[in-house]
Amino acid sequence: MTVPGAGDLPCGSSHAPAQRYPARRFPKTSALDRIAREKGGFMADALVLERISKTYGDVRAVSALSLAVPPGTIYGLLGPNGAGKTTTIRMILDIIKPDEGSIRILGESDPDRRRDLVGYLPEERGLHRKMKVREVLLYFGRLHDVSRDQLKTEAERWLERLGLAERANDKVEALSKGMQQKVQLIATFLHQPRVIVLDEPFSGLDPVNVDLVREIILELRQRGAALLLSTHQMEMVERLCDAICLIDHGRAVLQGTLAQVKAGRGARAIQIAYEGKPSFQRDRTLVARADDFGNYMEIHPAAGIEPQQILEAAVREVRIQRFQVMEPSLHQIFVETVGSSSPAAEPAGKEG
Amino acid sequence: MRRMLVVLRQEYLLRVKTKAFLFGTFILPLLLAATAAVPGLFMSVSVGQPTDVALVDQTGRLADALQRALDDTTKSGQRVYNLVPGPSGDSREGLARALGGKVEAGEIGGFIILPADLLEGGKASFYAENVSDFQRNERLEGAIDRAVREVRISDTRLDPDQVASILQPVKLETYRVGEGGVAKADQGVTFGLAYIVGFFFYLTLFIYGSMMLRAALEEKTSRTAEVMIATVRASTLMGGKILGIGLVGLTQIALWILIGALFSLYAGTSGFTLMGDELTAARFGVTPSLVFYFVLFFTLGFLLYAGIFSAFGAMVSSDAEAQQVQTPVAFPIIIAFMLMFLAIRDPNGLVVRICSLFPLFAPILMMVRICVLRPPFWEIALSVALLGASIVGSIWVAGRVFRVGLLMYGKRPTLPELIKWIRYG
Repeated sequence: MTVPGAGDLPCGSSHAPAQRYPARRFPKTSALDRIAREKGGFMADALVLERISKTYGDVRAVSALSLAVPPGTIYGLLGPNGAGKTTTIRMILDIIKPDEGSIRILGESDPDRRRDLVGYLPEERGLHRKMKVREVLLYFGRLHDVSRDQLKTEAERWLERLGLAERANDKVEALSKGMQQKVQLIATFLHQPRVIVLDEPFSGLDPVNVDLVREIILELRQRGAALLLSTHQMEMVERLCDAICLIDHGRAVLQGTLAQVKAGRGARAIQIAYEGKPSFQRDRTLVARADDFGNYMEIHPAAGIEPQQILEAAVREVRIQRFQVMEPSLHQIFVETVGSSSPAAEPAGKEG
Repeated sequence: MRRMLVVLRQEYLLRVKTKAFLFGTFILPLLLAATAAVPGLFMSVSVGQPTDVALVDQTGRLADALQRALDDTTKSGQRVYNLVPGPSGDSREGLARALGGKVEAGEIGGFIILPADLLEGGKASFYAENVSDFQRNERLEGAIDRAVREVRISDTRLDPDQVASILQPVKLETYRVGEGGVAKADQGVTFGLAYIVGFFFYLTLFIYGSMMLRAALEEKTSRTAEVMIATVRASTLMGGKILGIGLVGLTQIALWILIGALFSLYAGTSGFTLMGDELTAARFGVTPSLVFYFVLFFTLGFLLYAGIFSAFGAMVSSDAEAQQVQTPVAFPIIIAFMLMFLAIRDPNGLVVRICSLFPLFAPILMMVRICVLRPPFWEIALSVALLGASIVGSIWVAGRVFRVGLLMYGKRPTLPELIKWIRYG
């Protein structure tokens, strides 16, 4: 089967995403639901980790971790410092070898062949300081064995896009930190990888550049790349990611689409401000619990009931002034899940 | 291995385009050549204009003999010192005052006083502004000595022709037995060539070794190591770096040889001399086979040390640490350099023969032996084979240390940690 990859598409094109995942407007329920349904149907997934483990001495840095990222999705890899995120990423990039388990990228498990299919922005940024901006981009592209001509036009276009065209002939060391970071971001996907691993892509950027980078990440997804995003910025994850995996002490403690993760944290509360005399809240097939304050009500839907159904019932009986589904924030979920295991919650200096 | 070529190209161009490379390649040999050639130039200038030296000959018999003796000691036969008669007078102080003024005024280069009792064992004296030129002092002493003997012998009423033949000095000529028979060779020149080649190897192994160390460290200090390892195999990266920097070295050497060849050609046609010697390549015993061995041993030596240096470069995290490890790593080079003097003096001694097979010493010692006295072919072949095997081994070990080391920051690894790196790298 053909996987719609970034490589097939020219840079900057707004080619429609793959037929298979057309519902980009509702990203949180599109592609990942399918994984939930057909576990094991890995062929379509761009990046697959199958029960990978890594032990350093007595420390089990990563333990039987599995995850799958289909093309055209952004997957958040979350966890406290020292949870094993960096180790996991390094295993994906074949910087270190897993003790157990397998890693496949587009079905390819041979590390040498995997390398060209991945782009990597490490948390520890760095470019060859003495090289010129354009040279450095071509160098990384050439190391992936992409033709010089192709790289040149691509590099030119991206430099233009990120407002760096005039600095193309400057040495890297002459650039500001933020600019260097943008150059490095270009270097991660200039060879048009199908899988892109971004470790804290927003750190150290000003708000304008944060927006720019976010825009580019979304564009890469649009073009069919599978992105693995590791960050501590929960609001970014909430806005960008289709699915997440929260790891702690090397284990996946929470995994799934954002909707699934949130649903798993108990029923969502609904706040309704209204005028009138409602009675639907007493329908136990619909509402598990309701706190009525006369013109304001908090409702916990019954199992399997969508907020949509509550709204429909409410509209029939009262005049709605405000209707809000109160989802637990990812931040809250993160703290609740990880906070219970004490030592990992503290920043442990170096990430494992 | 196209990717290795990409690394190679990058490392090569990065270094060849620097000012340091241009300086090292073109300015440095010019400076060296200038330092070597300047005394020669001065000497040839002084040949054109003989220095006037006042002679106070209180014996009254030595002037002619001394001038003859002085003219005789120059190889070219050209007059260097022109004796002019000085004032007469017995008082040394008076003479010194009168002639000293002339010396200071630059009218004469100096003056010689030959006292009346010189033929009976007195002491001659030379006055000049600068009397530390030992070459000139020796020449003057030799000439006066010869003139005095000549006069003393002629007093014995021996036949002047017989005297001349008695006084004929003996010269020792040295011949080198080697490839293609016997060739006339100056001892000093053979020593010079071996010394220069040995010193050159010592210097270049040092320079390119530390360049290698820095090339590995660079990936760490610029924090590019992680992306690089994620992008290409560590072995590709290290191989590209080693070959790239090796090629920088070979480029530099090729340019030096070219400059040397052009200079030799120029010297051959223009009769340019250094202390009376023609400065041609052949004069120094430089043959094509020597150039071949030179490039071969440089390449092998570089490859061996490049692996070791790059492993150490990957182990350290800062320039300061790099300085610290550089010396112990370069220790075998220093030992080989010291053994070189033994090798020049006694190229077939047992110690030298054994040491020149030891891979870490072989590049310098075997090369020096080849310069001084061509060793049997099997010894050269054996040392090349041993070198080759150790290169394979050292690059294999270095590759593993390199891979793990590049990702480690901070503390330098201990020996057990290092062994773990090598085993599981």
